[in-house]
Amino acid sequence: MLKALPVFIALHLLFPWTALGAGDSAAYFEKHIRPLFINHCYECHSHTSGKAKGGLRLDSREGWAIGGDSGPAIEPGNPSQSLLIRAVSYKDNDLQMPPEKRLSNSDRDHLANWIAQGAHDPRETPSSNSKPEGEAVTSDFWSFRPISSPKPPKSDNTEWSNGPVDQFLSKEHQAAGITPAPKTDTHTSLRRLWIVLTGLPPSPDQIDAFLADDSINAWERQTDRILASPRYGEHWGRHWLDVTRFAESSGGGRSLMFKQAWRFRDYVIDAFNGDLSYNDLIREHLAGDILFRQDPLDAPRQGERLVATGFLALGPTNYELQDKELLRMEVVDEQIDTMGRAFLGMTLGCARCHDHKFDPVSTEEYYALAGIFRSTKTITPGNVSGFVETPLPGPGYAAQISYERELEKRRAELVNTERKDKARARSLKKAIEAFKKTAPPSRPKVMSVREQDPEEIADCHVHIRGAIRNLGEPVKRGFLSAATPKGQSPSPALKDTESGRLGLSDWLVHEGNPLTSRVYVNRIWHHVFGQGLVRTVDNFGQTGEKPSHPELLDYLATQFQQSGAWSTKRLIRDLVTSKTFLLGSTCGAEPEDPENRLFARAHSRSLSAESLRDTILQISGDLDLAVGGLTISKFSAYDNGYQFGEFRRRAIYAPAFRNARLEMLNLFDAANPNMTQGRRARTTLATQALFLMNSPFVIAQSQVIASKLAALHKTPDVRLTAAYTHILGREPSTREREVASTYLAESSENLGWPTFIQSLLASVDFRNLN
Amino acid sequence: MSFAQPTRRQMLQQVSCGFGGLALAGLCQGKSNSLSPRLGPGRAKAKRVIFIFMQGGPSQVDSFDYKPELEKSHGKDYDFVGVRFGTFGEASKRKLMKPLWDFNQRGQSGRWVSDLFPEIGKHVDDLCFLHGMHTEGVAHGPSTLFLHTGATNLVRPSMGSWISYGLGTENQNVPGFITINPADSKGGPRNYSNAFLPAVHQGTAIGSAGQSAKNARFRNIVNQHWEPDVQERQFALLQSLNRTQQAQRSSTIGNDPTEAMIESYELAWRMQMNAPSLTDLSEESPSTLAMYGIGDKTTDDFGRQCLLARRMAEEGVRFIQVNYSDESPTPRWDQHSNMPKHLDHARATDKPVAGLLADLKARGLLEDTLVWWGGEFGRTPFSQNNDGRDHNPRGFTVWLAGGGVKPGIAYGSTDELGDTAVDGRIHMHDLHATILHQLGLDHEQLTYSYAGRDFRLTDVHGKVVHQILA
Repeated sequence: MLKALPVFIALHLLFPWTALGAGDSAAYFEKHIRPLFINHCYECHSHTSGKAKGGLRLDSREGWAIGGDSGPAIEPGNPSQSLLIRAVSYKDNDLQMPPEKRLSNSDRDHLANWIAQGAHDPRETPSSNSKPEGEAVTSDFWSFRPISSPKPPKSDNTEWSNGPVDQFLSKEHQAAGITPAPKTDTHTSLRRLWIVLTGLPPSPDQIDAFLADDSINAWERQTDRILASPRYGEHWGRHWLDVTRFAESSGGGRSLMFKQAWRFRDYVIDAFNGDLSYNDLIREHLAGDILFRQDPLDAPRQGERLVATGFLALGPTNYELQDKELLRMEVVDEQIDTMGRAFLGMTLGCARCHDHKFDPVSTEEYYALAGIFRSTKTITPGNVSGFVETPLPGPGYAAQISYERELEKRRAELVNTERKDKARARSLKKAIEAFKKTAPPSRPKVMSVREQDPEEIADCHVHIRGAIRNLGEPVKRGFLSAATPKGQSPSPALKDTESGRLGLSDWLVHEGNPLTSRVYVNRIWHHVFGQGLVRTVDNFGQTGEKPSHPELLDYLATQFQQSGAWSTKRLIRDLVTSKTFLLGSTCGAEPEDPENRLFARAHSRSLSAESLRDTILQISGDLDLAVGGLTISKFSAYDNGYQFGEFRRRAIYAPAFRNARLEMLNLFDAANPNMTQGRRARTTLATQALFLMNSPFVIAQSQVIASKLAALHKTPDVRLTAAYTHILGREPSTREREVASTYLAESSENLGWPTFIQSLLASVDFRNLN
Repeated sequence: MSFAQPTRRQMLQQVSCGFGGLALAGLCQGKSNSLSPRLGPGRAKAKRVIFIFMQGGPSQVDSFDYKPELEKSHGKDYDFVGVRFGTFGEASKRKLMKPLWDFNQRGQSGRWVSDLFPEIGKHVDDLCFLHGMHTEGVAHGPSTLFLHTGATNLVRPSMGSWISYGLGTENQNVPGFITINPADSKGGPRNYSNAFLPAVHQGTAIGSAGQSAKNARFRNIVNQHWEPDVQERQFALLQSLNRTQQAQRSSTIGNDPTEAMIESYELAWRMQMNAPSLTDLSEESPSTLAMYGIGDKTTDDFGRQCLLARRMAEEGVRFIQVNYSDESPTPRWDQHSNMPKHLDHARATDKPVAGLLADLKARGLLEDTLVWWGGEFGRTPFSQNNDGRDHNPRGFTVWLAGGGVKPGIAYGSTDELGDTAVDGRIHMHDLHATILHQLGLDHEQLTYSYAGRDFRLTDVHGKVVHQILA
């Protein structure tokens, strides 16, 4: 396991070996070695100090013979194979001991000499040399138990209940003696529905249209209409992009632009608009490149499937890392971590260095997963490394694909002919040249992953304490046993050419996987109601929270897989058509459930950064609703200093660089693109207030809105009503009318209205979703 | 307490901390931590840090790390172990290059400083040289991120954010962590990002690399459009609308976010009244300006940055970073060839830094301000491209001043050629731990629970270097 580097051989030659007699060995140890150990090593590697860093103790023969996590420290008779010598030589960048001061030349010679002579060591083992054991972990934790399928409780309160969601919640209200808040007014609930589903409020016309619909299922019809709008996928796609830590540059040192990453963004938006089933989405994310490899390249969805693997490729990566094995494992680690949080709600990264302290994930299991991702090619090594790019397949490129096939065929024929028939070869060659002139424009190359070359596909060794050049035993590729349903194997048979990603995606979407559907339905619940049933949406482990309504969560997860056919739209529809969705957000002064874990009222929340921005632009009429495509206006190698200019499309389409993004996204808690963030932070900061008070953007938009309203309505009173309807989706109250009228009366026309409109855009009712 | 919606009191607390930090941020966001970072009142030797970032990696053997053996061995071949792509872990012969500037002993303490830094050289009796520094990463990006966040690749909070999180703010009207003219590249915003810490601890950038320090301002702090009297009336209207809306919602319960929002406007207004003066140097006397080299073309820009740092120190900013950076593909001190260019950078910064030291001392601020001068790594004693030097993370020098470190000493050393730290070795994690210690923060206790695990600036490493503490 220890690679003998050339430097050790050189080192070996430098030492003047001296032969020692038996009695001399003891004296040599006492004179040179014991003091050296005591002075330079015991502080971190002895019983007396109580420390055994790296698991190593150097205060007994047994201590170094057993060694630490990296194995024996000393090979008697063989200094160049001894880890200890490697460490004190300071020639290895990863292992330099003692850490604070290199040993003197003579001390290093003494050590090497002593080892060369057989490493005589009279020291006995002090008692209790056993390594401390970690706490036992268990898979009998709620989120690992099989998903149950409870029946909705009978509700006495038929007036209030509108189906299973309400019934489950109602039961808990009754148990706690809580009366749910009254239903909110129509304007508020309609605004809530629109913003929750699309990120944009209804326009005054849309409000009127809804108010005019007096059919008994007007709400359901409204819901279906909104779910069919492209605005829905733009909003819910954004939620998923938060989970997938989507960005269009690498971050890190030189933050490379990802010119094709927009395709992944569009893939996600289309997936939500087209209601791609969640199990298919997972399979495409992890194994889109190999899912249907038997199908022709120009078959439908082949392009989308390839683009979907961008999920694994577009994480934050420091392509500049010079140590390429380290880079490779950093990428693997990032992939495991993101996959774990996104789909399983598990933090697996901890197990890179040690068994997970809280959750049933061992280091071996981590490296079982690492083997899968290490057998997957994501990066191409170099001084500044690159990423894998693959020509885009799909029906749209049928001409290219058939051209490529034909060219390949002709070239093969040429090779076959060259020896046999020179003349015919010449004419074939000519024909190929002519054929090449008919080449269609080449296919775009997209960020993706692929299976490693067969010689690189292998199980991964445990990296002791996460160190890349400190390898333990290899671990068979596989999954987490605690989340593997009964009768399934956590480490399936794999072909030599297979990384195991396909198996991993099947394992994730297996109906018996206890985590996948629970985590997902909870994410959806979180966005619909403003708080998850499990509030730590990315963490279903022991350090996360427990569900407020475990039965409801299981009911939803089961329904989602079975009758729901993994459909996101159906699930959302079920939730927003509950009575619970319509509750008001107010309650008495002394609520019995201050954190509102029982959902007896609506959670009030702020508009997301994107909603706030897009809504302002929608009101002013400046919002450009074009969909999809590359939006990086000026492509360069790195993202730093990128200028966004007057970007007027929805925020989800704004170039999403790790080192540069729209100012509002940074200020108003948009998700950090470097990590899975299913639940955004919610801050109320003075910097946000300053933006709304002073930024040229808000002031300019206020002026546009003011002049638009002025053109529509001459009468101040009517204009005031219109301002409230456009901006807040409701009419002003008497008191509000009074405050505004006084202000406007005391101001000049050209200053009064724009400053008033700006104040409405900064007001709490505009910033909050009630 | 666990992931609770913040209560009203907490929201107010969060807001009233505003730009700056919170003493007990764990209360405001996420899970509560075992956050008892303080060593106790009176133990903290420093209240703030000024970090003078010499981006690109100034050469130790040409500045502060005197190596007579290197002089003697000039032109000789020597085996060095590679740290770069392609040569990683392998030894290869490189040609030694002697220092380009003469060294002299200076001050009472007799510390060696080359002619690159004659002005800083006058302050050696206040400086604490760390010659045994070593760090992670070899390229600028990874090493620069490591310097700031303790990680080369994984996304972690910046040191200034940790300090803001640990200490809170002394002044609500200014941010707790400011970085002046930072570069957009080599890690860019991640170098002052809060990562998963609460957003209040995000470093505030004023100005950007390569732009004149004259234009370094807080964003959105001034309203360029409405006259002050108009905006004053508008502000009254806004708060009146807000109060009305709040009353109409009649949600008088504890977690009313409306109150926090209204308070945030009050704070923003106060900041707008106060913060702009922080970056206004017109109140400074001509002699002060001259001390920093302001007005002299060579030193004007960096002099302004250093003077801004002093003003911020006076206003209670916890972590102030002054960046000697630009936006060219290679950072300023990055002389892979043409080492003589080091002189340009020394001239641009020597006097301003010396001026800052003198000014801090004269105002009694040096006692509780820890000044840290250094790059992300050093440079090799062997030549590259004939007259340049390559990156060297294995051994380099930084210096500290004030804030309870021993003045006039040199601690640690590189080998006789100035290549690898061999004695008094201080890893970047150790430097981080030591700086936190001086601020009264225990680097092992200053943790934040995120995604199921406790994180710290020093990961599982770091050791306070007690030997350099006064």
